[in-house]
Amino acid sequence: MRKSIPMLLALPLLLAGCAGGRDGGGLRVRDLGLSEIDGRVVLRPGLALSLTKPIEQALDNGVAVTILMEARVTRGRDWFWPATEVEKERRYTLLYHSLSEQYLVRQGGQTPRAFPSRLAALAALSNPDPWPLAKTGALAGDGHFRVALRVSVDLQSLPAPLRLMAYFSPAWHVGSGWQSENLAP
Amino acid sequence: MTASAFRRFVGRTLPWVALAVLLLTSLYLMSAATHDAARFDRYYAWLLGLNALALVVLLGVIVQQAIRLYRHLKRRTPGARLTRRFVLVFLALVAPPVIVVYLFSVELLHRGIDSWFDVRVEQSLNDALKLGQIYLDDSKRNLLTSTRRAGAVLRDVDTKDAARRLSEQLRQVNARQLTLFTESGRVIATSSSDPRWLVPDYPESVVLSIARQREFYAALEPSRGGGLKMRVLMNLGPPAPLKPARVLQAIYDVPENVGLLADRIAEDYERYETLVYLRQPLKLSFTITLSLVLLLSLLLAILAAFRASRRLVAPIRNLADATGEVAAGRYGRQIPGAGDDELGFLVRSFNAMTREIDQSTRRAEESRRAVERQRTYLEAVLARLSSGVLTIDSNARLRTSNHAANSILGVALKEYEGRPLIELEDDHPLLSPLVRALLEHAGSRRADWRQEIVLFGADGRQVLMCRGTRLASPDREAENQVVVFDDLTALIQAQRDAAWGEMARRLAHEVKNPLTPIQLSAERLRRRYLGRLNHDDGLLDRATHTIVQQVEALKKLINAFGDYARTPRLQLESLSLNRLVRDVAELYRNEDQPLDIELALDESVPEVVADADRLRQLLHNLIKNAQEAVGADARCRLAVRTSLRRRGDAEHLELSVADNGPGFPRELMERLFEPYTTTKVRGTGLGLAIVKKIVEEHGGMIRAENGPDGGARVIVLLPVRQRAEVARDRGA
Repeated sequence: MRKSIPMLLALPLLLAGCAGGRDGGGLRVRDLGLSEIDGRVVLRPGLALSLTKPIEQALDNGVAVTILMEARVTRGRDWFWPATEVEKERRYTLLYHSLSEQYLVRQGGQTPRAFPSRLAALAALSNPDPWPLAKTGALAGDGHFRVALRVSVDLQSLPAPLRLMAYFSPAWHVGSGWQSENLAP
Repeated sequence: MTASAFRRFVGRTLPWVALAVLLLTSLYLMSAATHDAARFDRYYAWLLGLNALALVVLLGVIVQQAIRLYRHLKRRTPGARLTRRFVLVFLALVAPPVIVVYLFSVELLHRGIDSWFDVRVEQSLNDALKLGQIYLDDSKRNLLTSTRRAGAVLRDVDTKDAARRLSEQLRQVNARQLTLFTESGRVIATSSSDPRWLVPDYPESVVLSIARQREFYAALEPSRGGGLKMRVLMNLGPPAPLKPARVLQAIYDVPENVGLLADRIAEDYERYETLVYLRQPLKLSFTITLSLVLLLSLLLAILAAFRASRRLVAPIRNLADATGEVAAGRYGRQIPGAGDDELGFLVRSFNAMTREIDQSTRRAEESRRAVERQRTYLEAVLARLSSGVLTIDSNARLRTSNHAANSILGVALKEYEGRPLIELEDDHPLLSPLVRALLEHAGSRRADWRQEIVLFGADGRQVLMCRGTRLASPDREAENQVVVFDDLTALIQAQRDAAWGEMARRLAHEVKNPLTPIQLSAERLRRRYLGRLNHDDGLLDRATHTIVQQVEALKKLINAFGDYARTPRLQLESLSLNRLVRDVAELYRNEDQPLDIELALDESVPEVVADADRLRQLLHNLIKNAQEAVGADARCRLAVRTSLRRRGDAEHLELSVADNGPGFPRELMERLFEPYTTTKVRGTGLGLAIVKKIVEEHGGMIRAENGPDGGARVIVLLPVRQRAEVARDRGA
């Protein structure tokens, strides 16, 4: 009971602490690397990924952090908001393997890639594999098309107790926001 | 279920049921979460959402209730203070145990979470991990040595022969796969002991880079299909000068039993570490959830207090409202039923009481309306009466008056109702004779009285016939007197005119007509027999002369009387009384007239609406009357004055004519203006009577008096009226 009362009193402070600054970390999209390969619109994005301290702490303590990349192709319309033509996402789970002291990057059911350091893992993630979005023929209608990419930490995939704090903490909101480019005809 | 019951259920009960279910769900999830982290994880978002939703709904409802209560308190609505007290008491009763339970729950929860962690377990896991790492490190060193040996063999091998040599070394070092790369990562040759791994297992570029820089790289990695593998890279250097350096990569399988064991240890260690890391957020999450449940409980308790107090207070408020309405005289309010408890009994008793009062009030109201109708009828009758009606109480206060009384007296008597009569006299001195008479009769014990009262107001002389009757009452103090009066001025004048007219007509027929034959007969007798009768000693002469003379006197008398009785229509016009007096006086200013007239005329006297001929006749009569009174032995001196007199609100012209004669005999003073009142041997006795008649025709008054130094004085008061007023009066 004696411990509970300070805990209760500290509730607002804890939440306020969770809502601390981002201390320089962040996920950025440097360029989309938009190109057409074999009749497909392909992204080869260049990213700049760095994590904030709370995220690094969570990662080092065994919490798997999922980097969510979302891409979409929109078609501009005269009188309405743009229509989303294509919407895709990729999830890269970054976790620490304590036995091997390696940082693993897992994408879906693929074999995880191991990296000797967090920076090496992030560096590898900064240049992801080419990402075919759509056939160019499917994007040949009226209107101009824009391709947008966003990189963020997927808070939904965090463990529930951490999720609450992450919702209220800017340190966990390190997403890039939508970066977009016109799709050349 | 009827539609109204369903609506009531949906509007009132359903939200409460929903809130209760919400709260119970939250509690259930909380309970489940404390036992099973996986379920907690699954329900956590819902738990938070539901609690937050319930909290917001409850807060909104409570704020609305609190605002309504505050408004009611401000307006001092009945029951508001009781509601406030009830809510506070309810809160004081509910809050402490709930908070204590909450604190204990939080403490219990924290201890429960803490109990998941044990230092020894943590240490054991740590040690196990370290042990595994030491073992694997030892294996790594051995594998590194083997790889280095293989590298020494393969460093200078020819590219064409590299595959064969790699296969030899693969068997030597017992690796899963050996691959020879250039330093840029291009595969020179590869060899695999397992057909499933024929494709080179490319190292990450960063790993290759490390191997180039540090000569070697060795690390444990998860293997495809589970288990662990050891990746060892050895920088072999260039095979010859100017040739690119070579890197040998060896992939070793970690023995399955060791790998699985070590992997399981690592997994447990990581899970434990994660739990340790999440301990504080977990506590915080649980505390927040419990706090939400506490807040929900408290808010629900407050809301329940509001509802309970409303239910309790509603009959009291209804009673207070109904009491207010009863106090305001509305007895028809019936309070809805309040159950079978004491409040319900009170409500039923109140309803019975108000019903009884309502019925009594209706009966009283019907009686009052009947009385009111009667009173209205009487008032209508009184209002249409031409007679003035006043009621006066025993304290000589005016109680009521009708419209005719106002018209006759020319006073708004409504203003004096409830006030003493004496105030009426103070404000309107002209009504003094009436007020005096009323006061006199109010003080007497006579049941009925009758009196003629003469007023002289702005409109002149006014004759009122008053009749008073005392209204019998058991309470003498409450005895009122009804006074009915009529304005007889016009009636008396008309009666008088009619009487004199009739008399003049009769005189003309009965008296005047025979006079001429008598006179003619006497003159004929005189002419025929005066010369023939020598022995009559002049008897015939005297007799006929006397007859003719007396007939002449009779004719003169009858003419004078005719003048008096004649009621010519007044030719009213605005005229200056002073000018009229000067004109008449001028007629008497000649040497033949033994008369001195001294005029003292007030020039501020306004014009008067009158018949100039009648006023001239009035002045002639007064002057002749004075001349005859002074006699021929003395010179007559007359003083004629005019002035403006104000009595109350009315203005009058006063005309006085004073002579130097012997004055009026005292015994004649009472009937001086009646016909045939004279001291002169040859007087007709109609001079002053005609004067009085003229004055009364003009609505004036006349009085006579003897001066202190002798001489008689006649004073005439004429009302100052405008032509329009006179015309209006005539029209009326």
